[in-house]
Amino acid sequence: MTDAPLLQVVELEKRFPLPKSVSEYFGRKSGRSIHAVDGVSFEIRAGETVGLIGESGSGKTTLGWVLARLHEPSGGTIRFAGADVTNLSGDELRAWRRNVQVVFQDPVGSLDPRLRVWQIVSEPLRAQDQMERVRFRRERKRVREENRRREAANRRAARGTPPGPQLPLLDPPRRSPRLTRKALRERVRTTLPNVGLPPDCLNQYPHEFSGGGRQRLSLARALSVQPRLIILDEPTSALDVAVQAQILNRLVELQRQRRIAFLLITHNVAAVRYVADRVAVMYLGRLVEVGDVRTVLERPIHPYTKALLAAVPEPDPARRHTRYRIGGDIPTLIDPPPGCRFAPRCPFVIDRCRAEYPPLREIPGTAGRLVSCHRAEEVADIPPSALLSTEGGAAAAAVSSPTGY
Amino acid sequence: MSSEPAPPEAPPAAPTGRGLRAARTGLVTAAASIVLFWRILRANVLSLVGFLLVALICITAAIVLVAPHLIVPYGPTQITNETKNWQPPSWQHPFGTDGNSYDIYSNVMLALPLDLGIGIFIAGVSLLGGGALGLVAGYWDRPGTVGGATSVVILRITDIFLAFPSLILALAISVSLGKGVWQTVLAVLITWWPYYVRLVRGEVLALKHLPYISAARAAGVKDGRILLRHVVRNILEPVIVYFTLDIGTVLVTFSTIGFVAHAIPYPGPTPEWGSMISYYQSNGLITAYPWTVLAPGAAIFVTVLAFSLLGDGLRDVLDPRSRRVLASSGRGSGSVETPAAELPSAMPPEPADGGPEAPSPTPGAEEAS
Amino acid sequence: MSAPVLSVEHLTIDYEVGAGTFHALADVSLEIETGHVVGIVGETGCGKSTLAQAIPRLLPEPPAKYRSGKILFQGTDLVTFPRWKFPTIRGTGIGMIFQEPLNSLNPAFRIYDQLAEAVRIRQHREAGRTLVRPDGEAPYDYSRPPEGPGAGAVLSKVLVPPTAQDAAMHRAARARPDLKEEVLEYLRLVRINDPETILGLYPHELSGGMRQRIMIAMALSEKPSLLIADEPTSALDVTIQAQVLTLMKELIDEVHASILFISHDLGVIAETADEIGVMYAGHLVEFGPVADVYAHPSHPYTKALLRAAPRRYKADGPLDSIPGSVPNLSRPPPGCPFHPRCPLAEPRCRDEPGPPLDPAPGRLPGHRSACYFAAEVASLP
Repeated sequence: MTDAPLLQVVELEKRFPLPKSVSEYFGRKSGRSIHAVDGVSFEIRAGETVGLIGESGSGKTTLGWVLARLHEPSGGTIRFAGADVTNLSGDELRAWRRNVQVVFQDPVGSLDPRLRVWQIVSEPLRAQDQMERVRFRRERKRVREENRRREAANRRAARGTPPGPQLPLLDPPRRSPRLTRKALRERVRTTLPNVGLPPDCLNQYPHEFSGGGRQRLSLARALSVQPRLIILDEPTSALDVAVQAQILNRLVELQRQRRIAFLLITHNVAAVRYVADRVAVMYLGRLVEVGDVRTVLERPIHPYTKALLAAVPEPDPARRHTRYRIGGDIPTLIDPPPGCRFAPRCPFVIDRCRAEYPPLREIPGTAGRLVSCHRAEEVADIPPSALLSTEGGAAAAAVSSPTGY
Repeated sequence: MSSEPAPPEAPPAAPTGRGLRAARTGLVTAAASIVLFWRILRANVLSLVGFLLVALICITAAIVLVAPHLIVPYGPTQITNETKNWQPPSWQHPFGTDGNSYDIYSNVMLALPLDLGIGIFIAGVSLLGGGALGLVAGYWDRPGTVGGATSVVILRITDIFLAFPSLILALAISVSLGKGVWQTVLAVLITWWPYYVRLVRGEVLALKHLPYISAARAAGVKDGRILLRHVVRNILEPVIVYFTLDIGTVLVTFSTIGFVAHAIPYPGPTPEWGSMISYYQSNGLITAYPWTVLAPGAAIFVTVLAFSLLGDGLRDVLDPRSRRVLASSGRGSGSVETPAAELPSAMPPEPADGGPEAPSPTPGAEEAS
Repeated sequence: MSAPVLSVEHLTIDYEVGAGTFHALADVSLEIETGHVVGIVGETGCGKSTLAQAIPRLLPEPPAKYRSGKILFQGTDLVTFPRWKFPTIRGTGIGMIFQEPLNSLNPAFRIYDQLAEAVRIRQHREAGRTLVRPDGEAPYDYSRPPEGPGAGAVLSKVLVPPTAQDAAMHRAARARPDLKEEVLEYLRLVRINDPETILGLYPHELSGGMRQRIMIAMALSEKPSLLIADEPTSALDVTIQAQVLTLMKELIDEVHASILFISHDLGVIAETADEIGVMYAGHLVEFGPVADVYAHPSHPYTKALLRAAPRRYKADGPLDSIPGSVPNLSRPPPGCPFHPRCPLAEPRCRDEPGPPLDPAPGRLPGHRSACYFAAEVASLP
C-alpha cells in the first residue's frame, strides 16, 4: 500500500446556505448555512476500500456527493490521480466522471422505472462514448489548426523567410466507431454476470427485480465504464441481512478481481468491518477518527467511535441486561459552535473541548491512526463496553461522571 | 416473450435483412402493445367506455370532415321545410328543427370537428408551449445561473397570467379581438398555457431530486439528454392524463365564450355548440322547444365525459406498475431475486420472463427494513 | 403460570389483489404471557408486519382476508369481533408503536394535545365509558338510556346559548390541571428532560428519537394490556436506537408490559425479548426462549439468519449468505416453505405438507421448531 493516493481531499467544505431572512438580506446579519462537510481531509489509495461511518446528519452522504462532483464543493480541493478536479465543469467534468461512479442508497429511486435493464446499465457507457466523440472533435480541431500553422511555416521556410527545416504534419486522430445499440447490449450482457445477475434479463424493467436485484443493477451500471473509484452510498441499508451478505461478498470479490477503489458510506458498522481496509468515522461534518479497519473497530480511540460501537445491538441475549449510557441528540449542522462537535454528548468532556476544536492528529504509537480528540491518549484504552452499564453494576460509575475515571 | 427482439447471438444479417428484421420486430412489438392496451382497458369498464366513446367521436368527426354527405343530411343554413318550423325530433330530423327550419342534428354534427379540433388544438399547443417552458423552469432553477434567471422570468410571466381569472381574461381578449373562430381560439390559448407551465414545472421539480436523475448526472449524461430521456418520459403520464381531461375543459370554456360573447356567428357556415346554445336560449323559447338547446348541450356533455373517462383509464395504462398487475392474469414468475451465479449448481435459475413482482397489496403489508 | 394475554391460533391471512392471492400468514400460532416480551424476526415480506397489524384488526379488509384461526385477546376472539367495536380494543386494549413516528403523530397538533387525548381516552374507558365532570359531580353514564325528558328535550336544550358558568366549566374541562400533570408524568417516564417545553412543540420540531419517545409515552399512557411495537427503532440512528432500546428495556422492567416486538434486526430482538419467533414466508418456523434459540437454533432458517449477520473482516473469508431467494407468496413452494434453500432438505420436505411447530428435541420446554430435522440443525456448519 505505498501507491500514490487515487483521491486526495484537502480541507473540503460544503455549506448549504439557508433562505435569508429580511435582516440578513439587507446585510444586517450574515446569512446562516448548514455546514454539512466542514474541513475534511483524507485520501483513498488505488484499489483500497475506505469505509465512511456516520449517523444521519453527519454529512457523510454529502461528502460522497461532493467527491462525485454531484454537489459543488464550497471550499477545499479534490485531487484525483494527482490532478485537481475541484473546478472541472462542462464536458471536462462529464468526461472525468468515467473515473468515479456512484451507487445510491435507494434501490427503487435510483433506477429509472421506464427504462429497460440494458438501457439503464449502458447509460454511463453511452454517455462516455459521447464524451469520446467530443474529445475526438476537439483533438481533430487541434490537429487541423496545428497542421495549418505548420503548413504556413513550411511555406515560409520554403520561400526562405526565414529559412528553416520543414515540419512534419501531424496525423489526424482516428474516430472510434460509435457504440451501436447492439454493442451496448453486448457490453451489458457481459457486465451483468459480474454482479451476479443472469445475462438474459436485458429487456426487463427495474420493478421486476427485488431490492437486492436492483442494487446489483446499480452496481452493474457503475461498473460498466470500468471506473477507478466507486462511491457506494449506503448500498445495503435497504436490504435484508441475507441479501446484504450477498452484495457485500460481491463487492469484495469485485475488488479483488479488478482493483477498484471503493468509498463505502454507511451507518452499518458490520458492513464496514467486512468490506473496508480503512475506516473514517464522521460526526457532524467532521472526521473524528481515521485508521485501519481492524484497529479502529477493535480499539477505538475517539469517544464517539466508542459510543457508536457500543450502540450496535449484537445478537447476544446476554446484552439484555446492559444499558446504553450516552445521552443527548445529534445536534443540527446549522452554524455549529466552536470546539469539538461531540462535546455535548461526550462522557469524557473537559472545558477545553468546548472552546477549542481538536484537529485531526496522528496518535503516537498507533501506526498512522488519526484522531480528533484533545484527550485521545488518556481515553485510548477505555473499551467501548465501558459506555454500557449493567443494571446496578459498578461499571456505570466509571463512566457516568464525566471526570470521574 | 414474443415481443423480445431477436437475440444478438444470431449471425449478422445483410443490411436489408436487418432492416426487415427490425421492421418485423417493430410490428411484433406494436402488436404486443395493442394487445396489452386492450387487456388493460378491458380490466376497467369505465375506461373502456371512455375509450370507445372517444374513438367513436373521433371517427364521426373524421367522417364529417371527409364525407359529410354520409351522416349529415342538410347544410348548416339549409332551409329544410319552409312551411313548418320548430319541428320536434323525428326520424327525419333526429334533433328537430329551429325557427328558421334549420336541421339541428346537421348543425350539431357539423360543429363536432370544429369543437373537437379546437379542444385538441388549444390543449395541445398549451401542452407543447407551456410544457416546454415548464421543463426549462423546473430543470434549470438554480438561483444565480442563467437558467435560474430564465426560470424566474418564465414563472413571473406565468404568474401574471394566472393572476387573472382565466375565463374573464379570455372573454375580454375575445371581445377585443372580434368575432371569429381563430380570434376565439387565440383568446383561449393566451389564457391556457400558464397552467401547463405550473403543472410541468411541479412534476419536474418533484422528479429532479430522484436518485436516478443524479445517477444519470454521475454517469456523465448531458442535461438535454437527461431532460428528454429521464424527465420527459417520467412526467408524461400525469401530463397526458391532465391533457386528456383538459380537452373537455377547453371545450367547455370555448363553448362558454361562444355562449357569452357570441364569438362565432350562428346561424352561419361554421356552427359551434356554445353559440348554438346561446342563440337558441336567447329567443326565450327553451320551454317550448327544449330540443334546440338540449342537443348541442348533450353533445358537449358526451364529449367532455368521454375524455374524462379516457383520462382516468389512461392513468392506469401509462403506469408501468399497474400495467404489469392488470395485464397479467395470474401468470408470471417471481421477481428476479435469485442471481444465477449465487444459486447452488443443482438449482436452475429462475425463469426471467418478466412476470410481476409480488406487489405489496397494502401499504402496511410491505415491510420496510 | 398466568393465562396468556394474547393467544394466536392457526391464523391464516391472504391478500386478494387483482392478479392473485398472496398467502401473507400461514397457520401462525403463538402465545404472549402476561408481562413477557415476544420478539418476531424475519426478512422483508415474511409477514411480520402483517401479523402486527392483523392482531388489532388494523389490516385493510379487503384486500386482507382472515381465512381461518383465532386471535384470542384476553379470552375474546378478535377475528369474529364486531367491526364497530374495534376502537374499544385499540389503544387501551392493544397499543401500537410504529416504525416512523413522524407519520404516526398528527403534524397539526402540539405534543400536549396528542398525549392528552390518549390519556383522556384511557380515563374515559376506565370510568366505564363515562365522562367525569370537572366539578366532581357524579359521572353521567352514557350507556344507560336517558332518564326524564326524551331526546327532543335534550336536542332543543342544545340551542340555548351557554351561560357564563357553562363556559367557565368548559374552559376548566379543557385546561384540566390533573390531565396535564398526568401527561407530564408520562413524558418523565420516557426520560424526557424538559417535559414542560416539549408539551408546546409540534412533532416536526422534535428529533426522531424524541418523537419515538413521545410515541412510546402515548402508547403507555393508555395502559394497554398488550403493546405491539412494529420496528420501533429501525428508523433511528444507531446511537439514538441504543438510547430508545435502553429506555424500552427499563420500561419493560418497570411496567411489566406484555409486548409483541417486531424487528428485522436480530440484535434488537436479542436485547429486548424473552421469547423469539422467527418468521419465514408467512410461516412461524421457530419459537422459543430467546437465549435458547440464539444459542441452539433448531430450524435451518434461523441458523442461516444468525450466521448471515456480518461479523468478520474481509481477510476471514466470505460472509455466509442464504442461497436462493424468498419465495413469491402468491405461489409458495409446496411443503416446507424453506425447502428450496435448505441444506437439510429431503424429498419429504417438498412432498409432505409443511412440518408443524413441534417441540424441538433436546431443547428447553417451549422451544418449538417447524422442521422435520430439528435435531440435525446443530450439526450444520
